[in-house]
Amino acid sequence: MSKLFPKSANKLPFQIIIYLGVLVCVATAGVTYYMTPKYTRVGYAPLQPVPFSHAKHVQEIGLDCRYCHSNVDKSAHSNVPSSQTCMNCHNQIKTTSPLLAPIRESAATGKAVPWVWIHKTPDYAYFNHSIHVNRGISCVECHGKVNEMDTVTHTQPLSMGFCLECHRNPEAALRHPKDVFNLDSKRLADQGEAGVKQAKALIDDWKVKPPQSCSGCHR
Amino acid sequence: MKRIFEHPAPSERELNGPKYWRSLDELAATPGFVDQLKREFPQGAAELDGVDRRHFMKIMAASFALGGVGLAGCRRPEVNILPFGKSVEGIIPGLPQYYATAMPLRKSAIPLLAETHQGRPTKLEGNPSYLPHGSASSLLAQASILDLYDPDRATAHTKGAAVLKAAAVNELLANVGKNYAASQGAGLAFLADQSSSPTRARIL
Repeated sequence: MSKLFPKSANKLPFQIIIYLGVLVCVATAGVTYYMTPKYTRVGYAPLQPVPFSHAKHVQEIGLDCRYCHSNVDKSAHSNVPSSQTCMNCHNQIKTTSPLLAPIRESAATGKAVPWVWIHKTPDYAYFNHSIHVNRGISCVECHGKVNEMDTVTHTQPLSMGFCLECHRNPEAALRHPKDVFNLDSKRLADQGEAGVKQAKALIDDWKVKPPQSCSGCHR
Repeated sequence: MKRIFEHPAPSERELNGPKYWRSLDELAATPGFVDQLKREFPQGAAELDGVDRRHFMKIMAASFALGGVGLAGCRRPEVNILPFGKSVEGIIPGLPQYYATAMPLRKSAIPLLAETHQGRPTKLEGNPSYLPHGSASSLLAQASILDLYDPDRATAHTKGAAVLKAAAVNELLANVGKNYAASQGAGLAFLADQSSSPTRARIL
């Protein structure tokens, strides 16, 4: 009987062990790289051209989100305010602060202040701010407690799993419409029996049917 | 085994016989033709100027190696949000704006609504408030949106071949008005295509 395996097959177990080793290394590297919060940008807090403190403006002065992000309930895109919006107050307050120099220059020349984009949905995912905000999903659900942040930090992963978690079970995240812009408010689901009932009622009344199909967001 | 082909030596007739030519350029041995004969490819085709193939491979290998270091392309790049410095009235970023306009034809015009995004027109539709047309437009009107992005369209004022600034144009036109005021416009002519624009009729 002739030999079934050639002589080179003697090396095969050794080769398999080496390949398995390489595979494990690649898998470990991939997991640590792509599945860490850093990949989903949690904790991302870049330096902005002006060290704007949301905590100061919201908690000390009591500004509503919509004073600056004025079109969040009208448009898919939540606008970052123009420098003129800042100058509404800052032409009276801290008019000579060197930290505000980029704002003053921008308001005078019309050139944009290059704010660094923190919460970015990918181009292949459609996201509409107005529909979320008008249907009782508070800013805090995706952006975290911005009202307590001195430097805006990316707190939620904003991955597809994060979106779907809420789209599958919207009543758990709903707030009463009057609480949407109050980031310290409680979700309806956390307000006991009455809250849960109200959340169910809102879902029925407003026909809150978050899409779970691919084309709902990947249009 | 390497094969050696024995090519026959050129015959007497081939060396000393009549020479044929295949084009007048070849017959005249023009410099352009001689140059082309010497090149494998026509000028500029499939060749890198100033970089030979070996150098090109070297540079590409180095850049791929550098690109791979630390998976530089895998992290999302820093992107900026550039809001308006001075607010623009009526603009809501992310929502379109509609303007009423009209497409002039030779003897009439089609009333249109232009959809614009951040100042850039993207779609023309018939204006629904003009009942005779009932919000309809024509295929020419629909396609005319592309005229606005035509790279051959005039983008600046020119005089002769020189580009004029807006101020210079205003000055020129003001001078035209001044110079021909005395003669009541005698000897002055405007060249323009036919249009039913009432505004233009009023100006002229």
